[in-house]
Amino acid sequence: MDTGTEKIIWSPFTKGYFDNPYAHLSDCREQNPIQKNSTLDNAYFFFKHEDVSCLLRHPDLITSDLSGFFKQKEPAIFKGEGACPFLSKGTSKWPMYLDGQEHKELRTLMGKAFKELDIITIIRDSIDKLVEEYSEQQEFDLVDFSGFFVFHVVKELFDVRNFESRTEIKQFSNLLARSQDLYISKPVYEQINESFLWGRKLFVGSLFEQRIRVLIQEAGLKFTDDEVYSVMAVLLMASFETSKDNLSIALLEIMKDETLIDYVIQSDANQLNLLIEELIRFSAPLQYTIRKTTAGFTYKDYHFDAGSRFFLCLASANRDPRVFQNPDQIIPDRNPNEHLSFGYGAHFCLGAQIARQELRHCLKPMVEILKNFKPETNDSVNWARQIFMRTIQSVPVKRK
Amino acid sequence: MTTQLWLQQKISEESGIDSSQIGFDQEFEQFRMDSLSVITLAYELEAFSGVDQIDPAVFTEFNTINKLAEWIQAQKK
Repeated sequence: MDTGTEKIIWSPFTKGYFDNPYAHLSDCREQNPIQKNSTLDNAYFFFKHEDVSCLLRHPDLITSDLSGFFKQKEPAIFKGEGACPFLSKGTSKWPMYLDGQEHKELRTLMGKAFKELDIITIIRDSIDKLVEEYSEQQEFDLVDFSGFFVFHVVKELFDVRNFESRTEIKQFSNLLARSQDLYISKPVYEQINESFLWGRKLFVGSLFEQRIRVLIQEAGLKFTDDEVYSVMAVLLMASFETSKDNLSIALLEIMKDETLIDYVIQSDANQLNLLIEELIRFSAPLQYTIRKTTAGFTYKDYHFDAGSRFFLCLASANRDPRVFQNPDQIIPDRNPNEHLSFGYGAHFCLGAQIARQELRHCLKPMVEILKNFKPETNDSVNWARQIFMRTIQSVPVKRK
Repeated sequence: MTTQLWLQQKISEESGIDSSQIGFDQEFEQFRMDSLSVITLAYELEAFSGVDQIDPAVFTEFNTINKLAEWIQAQKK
């Protein structure tokens, strides 16, 4: 394996990475597709589709332990701050960082969380509210536009009505998502911790909390109040953050291309489904996921020690030209489309179907509004400085 | 406050070593800071120095207070 003396080394500090990581990821994939990272402990990065796809579902690998990481780091993060550490507790029941029986039980439970709700009606009602709010506006922010719709869906799913504003939910969701990111400093972890503590009041007395507690009881599980909150928090974060980010990025791409606007408006159900998969490939916000070795592990003649962490770059795999022709273009009817945006194997995204349903129902009415708008300037997209979850902070748009 | 003195104070906070024991030409490795401490230092150094997006890897490449301060100075030009 190349340890980086000559070939390109992955770094999110590469100039322009946050605006567009794909050029750097392409260089890594083509020049140094399996590489050790010298800044992060026991870390290896994988960029090719075949490697990411294989390692995502490899039975000998486990997920990383986010809650355990926080438990170990909390004394240093909160040294002398007098804060109530909640990072480890808050992430203790996040299924993407659990394995085995505990993971299975949680997935089953979470899979039932919204079963009795009429999600299609919730999505349609949210679109109606969006159309009412935005049809007559002359200028607005595309991220707010996407967030407005997702917030109304989330409000119904989680029964957070009359509690908190869209801005607060947006910040809560974003900070929770950032708890998983790389290169997070102690002051930011403190902010994330505060957000976790603030969010405990969000679900109190809600129908959603009642449903989750019933499901936990039916499964014969015994969760503390903090663990119940951890389940609810991750569901809200996953529902809000990924949908908002995927929508913002996808809509921006559509707005830049008249043929895509026409395609959306004229598409039948099948054509729309193909485009949705392509948008999910192209704009998926989740850029990486992690697996760990529990014992010595050999892959493609490379040997890795126990405790090695594999950073699997989903974003790079989704742009691998060995699998996708013209990977940096949105091809509306791309088929097959073996993207890895929702992961693969035991940890396949639980919200994938809801995400697809949202897009099926919201794309046309949204594009009907957005076809009359354009970004205010060519460089008005403000990307967040986030590595794991690619996020647009703002894109002001105005009427054409 | 100079970059050197600021770094000395921050390394002292992160490592728990008294600042009088932290020399400007001592290698950072001797202070046994973990990656979270280095990331935090890089983050706070951005605010202090006004230099954007400091890669924590600079602490490995410019591995003493004097070397890092010199690098910071060069970035400002």
